[in-house]
Amino acid sequence: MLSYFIRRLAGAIPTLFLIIAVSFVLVRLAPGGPFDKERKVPATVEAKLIEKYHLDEPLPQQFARYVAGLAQGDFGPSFKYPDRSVSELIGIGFPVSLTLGLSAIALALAAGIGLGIWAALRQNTWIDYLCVGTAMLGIAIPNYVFAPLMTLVFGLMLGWLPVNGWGEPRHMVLPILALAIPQVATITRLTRASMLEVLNSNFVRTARAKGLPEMVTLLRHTIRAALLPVVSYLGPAVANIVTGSVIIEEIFRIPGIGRYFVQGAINRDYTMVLGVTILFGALIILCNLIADLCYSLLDPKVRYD
Amino acid sequence: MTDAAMVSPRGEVKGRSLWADARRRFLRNRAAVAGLVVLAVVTLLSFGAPFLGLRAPDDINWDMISAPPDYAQGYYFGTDQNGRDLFVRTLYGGQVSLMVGLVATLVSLVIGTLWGASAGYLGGRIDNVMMRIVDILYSIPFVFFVILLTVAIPRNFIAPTMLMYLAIGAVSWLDMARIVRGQTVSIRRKEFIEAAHASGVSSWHIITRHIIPNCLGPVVVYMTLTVPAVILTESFISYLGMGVQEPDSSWGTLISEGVNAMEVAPWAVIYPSGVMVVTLLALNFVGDGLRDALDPKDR
Repeated sequence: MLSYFIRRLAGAIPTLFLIIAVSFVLVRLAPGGPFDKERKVPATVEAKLIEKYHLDEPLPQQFARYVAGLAQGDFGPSFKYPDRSVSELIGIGFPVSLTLGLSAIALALAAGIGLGIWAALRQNTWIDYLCVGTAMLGIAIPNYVFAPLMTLVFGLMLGWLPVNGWGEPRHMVLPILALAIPQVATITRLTRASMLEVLNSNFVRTARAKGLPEMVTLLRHTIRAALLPVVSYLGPAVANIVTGSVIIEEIFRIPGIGRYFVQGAINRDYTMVLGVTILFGALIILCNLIADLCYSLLDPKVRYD
Repeated sequence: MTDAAMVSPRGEVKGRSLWADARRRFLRNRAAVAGLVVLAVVTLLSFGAPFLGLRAPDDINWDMISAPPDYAQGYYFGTDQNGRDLFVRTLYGGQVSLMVGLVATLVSLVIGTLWGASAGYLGGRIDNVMMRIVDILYSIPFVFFVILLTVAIPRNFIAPTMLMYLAIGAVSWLDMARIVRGQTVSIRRKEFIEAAHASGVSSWHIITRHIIPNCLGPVVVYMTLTVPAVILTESFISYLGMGVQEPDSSWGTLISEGVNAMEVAPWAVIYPSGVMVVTLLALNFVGDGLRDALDPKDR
């Protein structure tokens, strides 16, 4: 188990390095320098700036400098906000995005698994059809359609919840819902399908045949096996939540790192975009690793040695 | 498999092929057929829009700024804040969105099938290396890479819309490669392939008659599921203002513009997103129908 973990961790490092290298090169290829403003700065000032940010060095040297900085948790200076470093901005935005993302994942898991199990146990009744139909809608309606519609109804028409802002719990309701709904839908479908498959499998029939109460069969045998596809979906789910948070933070004007990414891409804030991409990449790799570990703990058929 | 079993030695009985079987099952699935009809209507309207005698998508009517739907004057979806016909813009936006879906899916089909089939067929160390590359690429946050690509590559070098097609296609072949490889590997070891070998069928016929038809089911199903995913990605990026640029429109840009004017002109967000959601639902129904029709497990 431990050796498997170490091996996976060792495999994750080249992946992360590749992400850093590719995004570094892509960002440097981008046309337009960070100092191309409407008002032209004097040549001497520009030369000073270029020298300060080491933009005159050859690319490999800049890259080496950047990676060395990363190893110490330094994402370099922000080109857009010269008095701040990217690490500082990420330090401000990350807790916000993390709160949003973790709440959305928790909600998606609880609601998705619950609805999926319920639908499977009541297969071909109106409960099942309602869950499946709603899940279908939840998958087809993107969250940037959902989010504005919810603000229109709950924020503007009913006036129950604030339309944007951040800080109080009531600010968090709509963004978390908007972020979680597509994942709730996907997890519901996954859970329902695998529950139905497990409910018809031989070991569940055996458990029933030996006289186990239905509830024990369900809790001890069925659900544990049925949740495996959900666990392996956790990695992609985190990736989707991270991606979705970009647009949700933009819509609800939440000061998280997704918003910094969008603003950075529009303002050509090289180091900001680079830093956020790398951070998100590392996050997704980490979550995939955790999901794999959970999977191996849950599935008796999988042994890593 | 079915056809081989049903054709008599003299070839008199006409066997039902895998695909004839699948078509029959698909046509019995009402949701899937309805999805197909909706999809055909949306596609025909979108690509037929220039020939329907409608207004031009950039035609400005100064008397109809942000006007609600007006059937008498032929503004079925109302107008946007520039007085442009939203029905026409939604149809033209549909061209972009559907083309993105199609082109990116084809790109991912070509790369994914070639990659996966080579890995599965060659096996051994080459297979290991090829699939390891897929694993690495898989954990990259790919929407960010599409955005990076659209930011990094100059607008005058390649049109933003075209770039979107290629960028999305170039990053969405990974699942396809995995599926095709898995299929190839498992089919190569199946008894019916062995049986074919034993009865002297040539390798060429084994591949064309047995391996490819058996790969095609999951590939086709996965393709229909890739299309809505790709359309969503395109509209996501266009919504953020980094994809399709004015005066062109896609469903993403229309929804984004509509959201900004939502309080005064709700129709500007409701109609374009309605058309998009209906199209995505239709695609999902078709995909589910195809899966049920082609999945050999459910016979």
